Amino acid sequence: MEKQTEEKQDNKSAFGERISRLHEEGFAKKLLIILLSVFAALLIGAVFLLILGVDPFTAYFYLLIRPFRSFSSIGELSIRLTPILLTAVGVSFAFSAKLSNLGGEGQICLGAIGMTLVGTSALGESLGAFSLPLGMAAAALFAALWAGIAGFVKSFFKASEIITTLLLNYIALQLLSWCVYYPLRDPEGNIPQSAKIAAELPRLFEGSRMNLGIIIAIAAMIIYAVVMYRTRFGFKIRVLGGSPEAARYAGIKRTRYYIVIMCLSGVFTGLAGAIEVAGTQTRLLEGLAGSYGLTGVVAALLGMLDPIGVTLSSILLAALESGSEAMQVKTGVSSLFVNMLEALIVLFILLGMSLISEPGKGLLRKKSAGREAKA
Amino acid sequence: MNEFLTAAFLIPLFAAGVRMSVPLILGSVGEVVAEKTGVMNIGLEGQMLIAALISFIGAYFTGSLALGILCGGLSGMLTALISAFWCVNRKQDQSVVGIMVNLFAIGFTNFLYRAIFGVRTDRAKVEILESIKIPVLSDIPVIGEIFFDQNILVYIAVLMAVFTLYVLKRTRFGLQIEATGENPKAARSAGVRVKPVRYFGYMFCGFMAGIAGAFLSCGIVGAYTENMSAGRGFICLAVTILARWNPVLSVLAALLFGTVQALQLRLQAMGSELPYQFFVALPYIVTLLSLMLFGWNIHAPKALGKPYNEEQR
Repeated sequence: MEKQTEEKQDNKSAFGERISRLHEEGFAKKLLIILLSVFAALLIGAVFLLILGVDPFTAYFYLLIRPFRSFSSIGELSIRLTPILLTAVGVSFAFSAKLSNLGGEGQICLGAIGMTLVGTSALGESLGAFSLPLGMAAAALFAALWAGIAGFVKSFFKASEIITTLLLNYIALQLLSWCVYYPLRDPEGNIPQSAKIAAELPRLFEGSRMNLGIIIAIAAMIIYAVVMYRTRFGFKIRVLGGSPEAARYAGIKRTRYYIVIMCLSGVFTGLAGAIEVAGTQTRLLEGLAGSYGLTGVVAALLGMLDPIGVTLSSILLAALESGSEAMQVKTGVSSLFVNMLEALIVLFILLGMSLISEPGKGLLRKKSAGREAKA
Repeated sequence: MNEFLTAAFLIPLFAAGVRMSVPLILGSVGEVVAEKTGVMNIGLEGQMLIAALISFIGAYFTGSLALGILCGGLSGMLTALISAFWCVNRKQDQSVVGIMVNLFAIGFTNFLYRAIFGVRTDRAKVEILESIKIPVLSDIPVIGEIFFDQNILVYIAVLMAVFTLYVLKRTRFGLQIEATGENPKAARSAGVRVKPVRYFGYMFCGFMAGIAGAFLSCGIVGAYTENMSAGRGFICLAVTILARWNPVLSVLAALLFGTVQALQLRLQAMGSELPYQFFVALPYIVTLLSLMLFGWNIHAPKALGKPYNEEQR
């Protein structure tokens, strides 16, 4: 008898664990793990910095404290936070369904191309500020279709989306490069970049580069929270992510959902590209996607796909990204250093979480399983 | 068009194609074994990158390419141990851990290069592997020039593929590997120890990825450049699928991609009507299309990517 219930719990636990996230009783424990992980990663990073002969406190001051110090530096942080947050939302949708969308970078490129196409066209010029929503729609459409390729190939050709989204990144980067060298190149300039787009996103405050994009990003995060936890569609995504067998049992058509979810994911990552053009760069240029694609993935994983968790981890990552350039200038440590920190933080968190959810040892797993059984 | 079809164009093209395919062969032979044990080593790209640097450092300071390449293999293996611990022992998502290993590698290699070589304008260099002419075979016209006038790692890569196929198909250990990837529970009841086999899968793959990285820095370039693996690790994953988890077919699939890469470089250099971006993207486009055409995952090991719970029966 006892053995039977145990078995039931084990079957359910994977699913229960995924949807329980931060809301469970283990909240304090999880928070502790996250803080410890960040601390451990910083400690290892400090050793590396010492080897380079750089004072860790100076480096971490630039990474963690300076981005929050002044009004204008918070503005700088916000323009990095916007694409990270939007990418993280897109990626979280996909990861919630156990789809690893690693194509953020490529989708950002496509979104940026969409925005620029509208913004530099005659139509865009005549529309003025109204070209912005149109450009964003184009960006969302382009990126959704681009991400949809990976969903389509997964559904109909059973090719792993991990590989296809990565391959699509390399192709999108070249597509963007081609766009700025040939069709979208500013005819008056010598540098391979597009002309300025017709309108820019309005800035929110004087003396800071913070723009309307951050509001759009926060709205996107709210949409994510509502869709995932308050709608049938979100529930289906979670079922699909929890267990494909359960999804089949519930009559969810996997093939169709894979395509829909990838497209939805692309809508948000595409918006990240659109806002990077319309809010920050004002034109299309190479290297625009930067590392936002992967950073978005890290934010989603670090926040464990929970809306609040992802928002907080996005802020941390945006601080690291915006601080890393100052650090590079002042201490000579490459901005790529933060990649190492990010990877270590996620690895330590995974390790910590696995230690508290070990079957038979952790309370958390049983509780969440029990809750699921009741529902 | 005729200029493409001359021997002077084609023979160096295919010879370069063979060279370019070597990292793909080594990586995907490793990946075949890892995936046969049921684990997906997405961190292959990161292992390759770290090994490219470590092998270069090894060769630079010891003055011996062989030692450098060995260092590369070992560093790939060590990096794979991270994935193994997280995925096999702690049962974490293999793709997530792999992505993190790749991310870590980008930062780590940048750090290590700077820590050792500092910021200098002149790039540190080592001699590259010499090519070895195989007697008799290298005298065959065309074929000899393409296949039998290469450096030692080219031959080792092909021999490893054949040897791996032999081990997988014809030995007891190969059977244990296959069982672990197909049905770990059944394998366990038959007395196979699943965890060590999966650890072996990761470590073998890491070692092969390491040699692949060493081939890039010590084998053909003679220097380390930032992010020099450039997505080859991901192409290895695709090659593995296309080869249907058969190491010898990996060689053929890798040759195809290697040749496309070599062709891409040559077409770019010749100054064609088409924009250069098209050629840079070409290998990735070919990979994507071939995944759609031939990449049906039906031959994948059944338990691929699923963590194995010893306690769970």
